[in-house]
Amino acid sequence: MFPYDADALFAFLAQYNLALWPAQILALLMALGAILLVLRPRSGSGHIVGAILAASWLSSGAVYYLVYLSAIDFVSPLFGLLLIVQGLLMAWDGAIRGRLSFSFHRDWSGWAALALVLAALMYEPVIALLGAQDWLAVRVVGLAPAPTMVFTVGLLLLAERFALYLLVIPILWSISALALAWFLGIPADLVLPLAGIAAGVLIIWRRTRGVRV
Amino acid sequence: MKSSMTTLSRRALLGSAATIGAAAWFGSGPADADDTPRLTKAIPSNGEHIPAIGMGSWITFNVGDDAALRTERAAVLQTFFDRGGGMVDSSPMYGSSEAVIGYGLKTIPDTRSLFAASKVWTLLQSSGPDQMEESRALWGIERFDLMQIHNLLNWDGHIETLRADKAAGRIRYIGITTSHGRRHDEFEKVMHEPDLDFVQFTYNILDREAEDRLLPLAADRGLAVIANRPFRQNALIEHFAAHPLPSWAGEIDCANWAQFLLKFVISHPSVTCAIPATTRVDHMHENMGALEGRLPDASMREQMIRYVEAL
Repeated sequence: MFPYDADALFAFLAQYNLALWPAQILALLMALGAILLVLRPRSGSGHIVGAILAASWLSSGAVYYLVYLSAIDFVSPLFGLLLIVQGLLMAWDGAIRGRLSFSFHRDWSGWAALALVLAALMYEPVIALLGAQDWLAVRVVGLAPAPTMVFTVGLLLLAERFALYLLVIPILWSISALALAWFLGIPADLVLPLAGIAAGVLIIWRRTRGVRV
Repeated sequence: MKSSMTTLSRRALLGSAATIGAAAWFGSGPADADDTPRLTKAIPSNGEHIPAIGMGSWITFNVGDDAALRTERAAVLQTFFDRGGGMVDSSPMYGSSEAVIGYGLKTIPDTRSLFAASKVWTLLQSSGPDQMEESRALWGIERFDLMQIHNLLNWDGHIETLRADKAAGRIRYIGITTSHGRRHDEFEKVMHEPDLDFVQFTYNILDREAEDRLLPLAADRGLAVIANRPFRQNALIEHFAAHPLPSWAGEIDCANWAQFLLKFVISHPSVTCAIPATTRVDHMHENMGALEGRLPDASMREQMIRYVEAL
């Protein structure tokens, strides 16, 4: 049971974006930087990408959920804490211990990963361009959970190695996001969580069979 | 789901007769500018009459700081009072709903009929007073008419606070709430506590479990009953909208499904007030229409059940 409706959610997103402006520019630049470092890896890329992902999850947990959404959603502190835990795991595994390394291969999984990463950046702007959503309410990677989740899972699809527990919270969050989209009657909001879950399951399935993804 | 109505106790029936007789089925309730009589019901603990249709705020008033949505909700609230409404029910759990109600109340010139009902919803008894103080500030009122313990959360702690508040005049009535038919056993136990005035639980034409024990017990204990989820959060309206009202709906002055469903709820002798929630002015007009005209009697209520269960 969710305590708000679709109108309230989009009104919240518009106010959230206005309150954070121009942080969206910085967040997008960080995301583009992460993509470049994955496609053209160099020494320390894994650390930097891990730090960017960690910052994205910490920001989504602390700012989106704890500071802002909690005004209309009594459950949001729980989600905020979960996302902060994910951010800390990313920071520990990726930024500090350097346990993330990426490489892009021109195979189907590489293109699928790239599609997910681009979806994280472009899906909601395209929806807005088509007139189905207010531009002000567009969720931005690094500042809101849905694009951050898809961006993360897309990059992990390109990872040579990483600990599978980094997928647990993104998949749990995606399941809850599906329930929210269904309850609020926002079909467009089903897409990113479904993509994230599918990619997460694919990674786990491949990994448990010892196949590189 | 029950297939037929539970037999009503003699006390409940007598209470109903007294309520309807004294309370303006056609007469003594509050009237708006058009002098239309409004249906009121008596609070058993002291006989005060309140309009039998109130207003819930779960989801519907939780619109945050958005100015346009706040203005829309203020218009809904204005319509509620224009049509003779009294009880407005909210909770700290409902996000920004209390703040939005307070915003609306400030825009309405005459809120004398307001019967302010909120809840205490916190694990710690010690934080209850601060939470209630914050609720008063959000609503912009000096005191609540009714303060309820939300979903029985730490009820045995909060009830001590509420007893003291009632004695000191900070609230007028004490209540407890549950919804979705949860925790009825514990709820029934708490209903035996002294000093309770109100109970709130789910009751509608398809969710009638409360007829088995809670409604008869409320009548026996002299407790006012607030029926929440009278439309199952709009699911009943959506489900029935494709079907026509029965031809005999006019006999109980129902012009739409909202009035049909609400009149079923408030015609139960033990129900004091139903609290539908809406985001729309036109829906508020429909809801408040249930405060006018005739109510179904026991046999008509059976007929209403049979009709909707066949849809």
